[in-house]
Amino acid sequence: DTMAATKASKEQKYDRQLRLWGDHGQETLENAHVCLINATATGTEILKNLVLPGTQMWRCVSDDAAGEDENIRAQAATELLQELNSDVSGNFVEESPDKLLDNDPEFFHRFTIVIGVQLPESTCLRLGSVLWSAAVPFLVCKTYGLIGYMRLVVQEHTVIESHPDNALEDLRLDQPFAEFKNHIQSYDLDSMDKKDHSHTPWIIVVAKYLEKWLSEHNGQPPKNYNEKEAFRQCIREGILKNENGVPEDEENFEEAIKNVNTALNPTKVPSAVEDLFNSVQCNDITSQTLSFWVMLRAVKEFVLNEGNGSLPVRGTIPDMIADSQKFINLQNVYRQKAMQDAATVSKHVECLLQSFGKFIPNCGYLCWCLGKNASFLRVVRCRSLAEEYSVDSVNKDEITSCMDNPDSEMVFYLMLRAVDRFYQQHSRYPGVYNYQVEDDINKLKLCVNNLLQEYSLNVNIKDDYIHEFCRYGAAEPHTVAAFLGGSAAQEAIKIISHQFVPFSNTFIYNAMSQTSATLQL
Amino acid sequence: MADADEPEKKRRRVVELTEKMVVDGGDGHNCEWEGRWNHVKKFLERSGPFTHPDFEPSTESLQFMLDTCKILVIGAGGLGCELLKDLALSGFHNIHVVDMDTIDVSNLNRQFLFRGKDVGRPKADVAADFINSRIPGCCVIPHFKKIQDLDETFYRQFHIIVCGLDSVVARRWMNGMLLSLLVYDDGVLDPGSIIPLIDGGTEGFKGNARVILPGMTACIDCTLELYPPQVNFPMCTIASMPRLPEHCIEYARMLLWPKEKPFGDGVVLDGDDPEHIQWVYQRSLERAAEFNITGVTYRLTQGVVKRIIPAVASTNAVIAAACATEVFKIASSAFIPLNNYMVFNDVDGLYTYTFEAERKENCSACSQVPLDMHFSPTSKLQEVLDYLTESASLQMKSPAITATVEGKNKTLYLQSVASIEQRTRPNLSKTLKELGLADRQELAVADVTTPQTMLFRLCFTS
Repeated sequence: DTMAATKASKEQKYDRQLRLWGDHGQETLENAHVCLINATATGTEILKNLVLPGTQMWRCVSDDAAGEDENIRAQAATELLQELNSDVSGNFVEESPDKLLDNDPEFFHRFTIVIGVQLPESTCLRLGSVLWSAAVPFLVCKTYGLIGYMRLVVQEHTVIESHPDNALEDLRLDQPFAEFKNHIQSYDLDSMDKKDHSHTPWIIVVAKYLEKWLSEHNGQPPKNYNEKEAFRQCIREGILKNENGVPEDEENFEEAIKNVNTALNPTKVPSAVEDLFNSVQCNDITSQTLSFWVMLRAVKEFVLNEGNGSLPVRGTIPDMIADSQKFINLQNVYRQKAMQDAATVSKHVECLLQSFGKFIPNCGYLCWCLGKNASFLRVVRCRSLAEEYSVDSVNKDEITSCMDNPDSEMVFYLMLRAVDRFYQQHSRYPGVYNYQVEDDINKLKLCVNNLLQEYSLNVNIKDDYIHEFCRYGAAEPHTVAAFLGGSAAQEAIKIISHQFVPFSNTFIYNAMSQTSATLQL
Repeated sequence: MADADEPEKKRRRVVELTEKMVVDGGDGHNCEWEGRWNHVKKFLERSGPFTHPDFEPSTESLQFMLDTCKILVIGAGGLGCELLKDLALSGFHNIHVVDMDTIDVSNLNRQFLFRGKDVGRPKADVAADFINSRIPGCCVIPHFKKIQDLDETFYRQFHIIVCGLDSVVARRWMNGMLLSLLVYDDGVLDPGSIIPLIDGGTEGFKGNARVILPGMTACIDCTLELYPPQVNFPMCTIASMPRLPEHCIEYARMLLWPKEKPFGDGVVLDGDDPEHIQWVYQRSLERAAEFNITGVTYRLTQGVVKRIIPAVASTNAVIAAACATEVFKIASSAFIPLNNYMVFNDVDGLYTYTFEAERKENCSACSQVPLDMHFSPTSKLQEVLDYLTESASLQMKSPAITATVEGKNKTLYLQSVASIEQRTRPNLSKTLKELGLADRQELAVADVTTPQTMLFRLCFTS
């Protein structure tokens, strides 16, 4: 059966990345349409890093202004890229983006993401405007000498599966739900034999000692360092002692003591999620509202009602010293509560959509996924290029505060804007030929001053940087192109898969110092 | 829509340009075309405000890079493929590559020099073939070997060495090899004997790139704490109280397989054999069912048995690019190299952190003085062995300990040769005093983590 064989071999080939974004993430890659403009070194590197993981449908558009060789390079690159991954099929569009914008701007509407490489400012802004109106994400990339630049332009990008590196556990020790309370009651530490006592999960141990503390302290949990120390001491005193009064080796109690600090963290809705609850999209549900916001509103309803101010229970617990049965039973208490909460959220979703006669397919599963990730939901919003470039809305504060340090990566952003200006004036970039370098330094300096004046930016750009950008001569060195190629491809994959969180909204890489910065412009 | 008929003229030009990008055999000298190295030349032939103090613009640097500069790439996997490509396209045309592995299907999502038809062939060979046939003038020489199979004379010929390894042990060995090549004249380090080592590592969406100047800057062992040892599950959990699906899989792998020998006597579990994994998977399911544990899948089973680390093309591309940039900087003096460690993470946005890792005064590899170790004369040799393997700063794998006792060189314990292991095993339960060791005496320790023997000074505590 060739379909099954193909599926199996794809699973083998993509195994290492499926472990990062799962089969459902892989599916989004295989269904995405990607548009890459300009198959330069940077462009082909980006595309290679998308084709290798399985992006199947892509089109490569070439910029006429770069000359016929560029066109042909795009086509040759396309052929090589197709050979790279036998599962994919891409093709080449021999038309400049400017012409497409003139004659067929809707060409760009069908794409999941458009990636523009080494675009001159005018083309970039035109394209940005079309894509903004069509709500198509736009990733701008540029390699200029030893500087890499990326700008993400997307109105609103929602992320349920953000996969945070260091997430706090959701244990509800400060407000145990009924089933958890019952489960804790089923334990009597004082009457247990040594084996059971030493293999009781630390969560139960902390819960038991917390109950005792609360009854002795007017219902107030340990709050400051001294109280927490006293609480840890209570637990320590609970360690069984042998006939000589020497404490036994009870690793589970040591775990309990070690985890007191985080275990006592109050359960609350993170402020980032509260902000999402308060946003317009969440509160004004219409028939056009995206699923993400409908589900978020359902979560909000849950929080206000059945959740008693808390998010749905996440349902996972960390591994800990315990015998199998005690651990599995405890884990099931959390799991079942999570499933119950997810079902309740799902009912809220149904209610919200009822009046529109709509429904979300696979809603139960999606709500369970949402419940698991409720504390880490993220929404990324980037300003339009028009706003960034307008004199009225330029982000002066960000620029001037970064430039308090004249060597901050912000200086490279300003220099890139200045060379764009140079290009507009002289129809070429500074310092491309050796004989131009010296004279272009002054010409570029004029562009810099012109830029700063136009935007009323009271910053100082060192002459060294102006000299350096003439030295670059608009070179596109391969190692810098490759760094940007990897970075941009992964950001594109984040946009396509809605997993992991994209940057917002400007990224600058400095290969001279191997440093980088993310700026809000 | 623009992809209609191609005019014949255009088609011929595409073929021409594709041939420029994909050329059979290149012999070096007549394959340059106009403007080929423009991007590179700007950095070699022009002065600038941020160049290295030693830099002088010259048209000869390019020729040096193309004709003379010899680079060694260690590893032809995720990082290695990217490194070879980046270096070749940056003007380095004399490259050697070492890799002991063959190509697997699961490599193909990122190791782009390989195709489905190459599965089973040596990575070094296929990588070299690909680069040599696509990049005119570039000569990559492959070595299908372990790094330990090559000696001083081999490594000494290179100007710069770049590592794209997936093992801390191998990194430490390479580190030790380059330290052993250092020449000291009257206690002063001869800079000509320094071979810069650029080291890259990746794991999922995280990576790092560092520059090591052996004898001058922090070496791998100086920062061994940055590579914490792999944590294994405790045996009692695996054997009698599993809680996670991983525990069930380890049970099948570590306890059932040796007992049941399902594919015959002496047949070692091969993580690459689907039949073996299937067996472990079935047994793990049974174990999990006994304890009501959910979550055992084929994918998890394979991941645990093979200790799989997730990997994508993008992270490897980024880290290899950073490393290749450093190779260029050092070879050309065009810029000051990274000083000396960069960390990268693109889980949430893109994050880099660059810092100067410091040399450790008593580094086990590069500090050149015997390390003190403190034990009571009544301590058993086993305690010394445990210290060598468990200490965070040493992390040895199977150290062999020798010492001079009563004028003769005596092997105290050696694990890697069965007959010697058996003979010296009783020494482990003897005390240091019983073994005839004296205060302040030197112990010599050999281990896979270093090509040179390490010297320790035994300091008796009362």
